[in-house]
Amino acid sequence: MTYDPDFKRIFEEIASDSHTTVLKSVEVGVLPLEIDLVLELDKDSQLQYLAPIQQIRECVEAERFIIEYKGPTDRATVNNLRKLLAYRQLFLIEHDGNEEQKTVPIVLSSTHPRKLLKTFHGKTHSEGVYSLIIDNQEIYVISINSLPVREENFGLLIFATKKEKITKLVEILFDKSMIGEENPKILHEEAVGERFLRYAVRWNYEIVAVTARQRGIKMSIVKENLKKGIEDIGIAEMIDELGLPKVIDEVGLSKVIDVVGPSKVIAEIGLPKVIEEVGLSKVAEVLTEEQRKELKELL
Amino acid sequence: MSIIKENLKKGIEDFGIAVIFEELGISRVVEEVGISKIIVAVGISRIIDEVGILKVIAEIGLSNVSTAVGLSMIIKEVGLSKVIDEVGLSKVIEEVGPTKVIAAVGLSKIIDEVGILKVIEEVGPAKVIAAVGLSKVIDEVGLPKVIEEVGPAKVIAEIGLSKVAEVLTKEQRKELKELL
Repeated sequence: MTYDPDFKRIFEEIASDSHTTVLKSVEVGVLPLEIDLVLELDKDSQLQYLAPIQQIRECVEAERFIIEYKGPTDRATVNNLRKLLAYRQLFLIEHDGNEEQKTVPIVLSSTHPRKLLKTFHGKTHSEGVYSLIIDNQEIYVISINSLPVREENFGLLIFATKKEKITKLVEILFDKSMIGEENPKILHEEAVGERFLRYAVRWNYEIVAVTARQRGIKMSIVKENLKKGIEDIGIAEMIDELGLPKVIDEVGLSKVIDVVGPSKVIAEIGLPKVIEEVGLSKVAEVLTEEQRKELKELL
Repeated sequence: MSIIKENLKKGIEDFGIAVIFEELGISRVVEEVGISKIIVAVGISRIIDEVGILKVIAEIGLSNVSTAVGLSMIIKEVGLSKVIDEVGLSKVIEEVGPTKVIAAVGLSKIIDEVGILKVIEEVGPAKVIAAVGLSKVIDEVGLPKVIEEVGPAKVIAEIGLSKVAEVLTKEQRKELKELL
């Protein structure tokens, strides 16, 4: 299972709304060196729903972040941290004028890097947000699974992998997404709920579906989010994943042909192939007397 | 596999593939996947089964049938004699040319069906020879018949004297010797 490209994809959507430039897979030095994400901030950047990053920003007056993502199957190690520091230096070499102090490295880890924090005497800034010194340089570590489930953290919590954490998040998202049914005035809450529910379906479908069933929530909400997710990825790409024959079997070939129109289907196959497949005897069998006569003349 | 795709896949299978894609719209599915991919995936025969043979003919137009499939296929299916019975050998050869007719069914088959004389009578020996070469005609129908039809000079030039000598009877050899 690969997490990195999908993390970058969703994170970019979340952060881009906060007037923040997100650079994905930034190449530095000699390939294959690649920074997961670089966040370029300006005075309007709000980092909405990314409160832990905003907190670090305020703490060190950062203008950009060099981010290394560690998914559930990829634990942060000392070497990862050193590599991240090197990435920052390479980035600074290639981008003249960027101040070192304002270019801050962050490890964004799905799981809690307990051993690492212990070894390097990690300093806790808030729940789930830490910093540590390695080779005399400061690195920030955000442990996603340790972040409190609050709206300002939604942009990171969506990548949580701890079942209890993600379940709690999904419950809140359902509550928010349905709030408009009772009180149409609270549009913001509903929009936030819907937005992050869409991400949750893509990142952790099973928990979303189970939570919806357990709480008696209309599955149509989940289904709508699923459809949006498919549209984002691309219908063709998703069908490739499922296997085209399987999809056609399920949908029914006749429905597909009805939609396309038989003439287009035949044109696509090519007439000789159609006749080859049908067999001339079958063709002859279904011809009317007049058609036979016409064919004879043509022959 | 990507985590997003894996999750969406779970969701699609959970709700049912048909349900999800019907709701997304079959026309969109076809448009995005492409009809050619669909045809490859399900196989032509299934498509034709689905469309129905009458519809296929109605769609393609009968006049296209003969031009589209080629003579060899028609002959293969219907049988040469039937085709010749229906339209006449000369008509068939006239339409498609002797080379194509012979290429389609083989000269021997034509001869089996209608006889070499009929073939030559219909199209003339020159056309038959031009189509397949004299040696092939000889192989197919036997030398005496060819000599009779084509004339000895051409035959000798084509096959060589030794072969001519080989096929002569004792009396013929004797007669030839005297003549020489």
